[in-house]
Amino acid sequence: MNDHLENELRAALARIQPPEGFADRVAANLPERPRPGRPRYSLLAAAAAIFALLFVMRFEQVRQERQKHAEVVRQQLAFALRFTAEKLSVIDARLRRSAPELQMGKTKEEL
Amino acid sequence: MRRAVAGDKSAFAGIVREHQSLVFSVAYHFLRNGELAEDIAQEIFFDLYRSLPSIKSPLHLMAWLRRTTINRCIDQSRSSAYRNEMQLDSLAEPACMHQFADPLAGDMLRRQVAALSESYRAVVILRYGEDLEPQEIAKLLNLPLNTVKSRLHRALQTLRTKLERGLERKRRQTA
Repeated sequence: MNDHLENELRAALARIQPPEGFADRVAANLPERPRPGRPRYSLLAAAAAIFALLFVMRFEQVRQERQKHAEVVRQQLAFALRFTAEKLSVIDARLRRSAPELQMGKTKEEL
Repeated sequence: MRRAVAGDKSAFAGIVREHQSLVFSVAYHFLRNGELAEDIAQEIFFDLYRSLPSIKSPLHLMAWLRRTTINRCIDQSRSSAYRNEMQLDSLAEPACMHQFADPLAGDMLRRQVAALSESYRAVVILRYGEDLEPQEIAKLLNLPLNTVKSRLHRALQTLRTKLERGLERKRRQTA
């Protein structure tokens, strides 16, 4: 029964030809095809533009980070200078109190 | 083939003539609709024209055509629009169909194949329409060999059962 059915299937599903002129109709309506090996300039240009944009964004990001860092360093330096100046003035005041002769601006030898 | 790759349209028409029966037959037996099969065959050859530079050999070309045709037919068959349009009983047979000893059996068999699920229909058409071995079908559809064998077995069982029932009914009607 299986062999009989298989033979019937082979006959039922045998190859058939499409309507007359099919190949000519296909050939007449063929779509355009990019030439083999030819680079796709639009894709290259898009890729280059994206790359350039990413480069500029990264450059700007690095510049801003450096600027922020520089500002922090400047503030720290200003604080350190102010702090040093205050300390120096305290030391200066103590020195003047403990050695009044220095108030006149004279050295020991001169005195 | 080299001329067709270079863009020679008449050379490509030669390739179409050589393989048109393969593509059209698979599509027709799958969908049982001549117009739809012709449209799909045409689209497949357009795709082939674009993909021709990547085709390495005549064997690769045949495999590409079979795989693309089956996949396109499965997509078409699953689309809801096609399901709504498709009415098997209203479809005409092509003029050059094989003549069976029992014409009722041949016609009924084609209808029953078309009524199988897409996955069963694909393996049946490739096995009996294209005369491919189960190993070749497995490779073509990227399926395990046992899956192909079991689908073929179940499809044959289904067809046998339905065919017997159908023939019995027709004989009762004619008697």
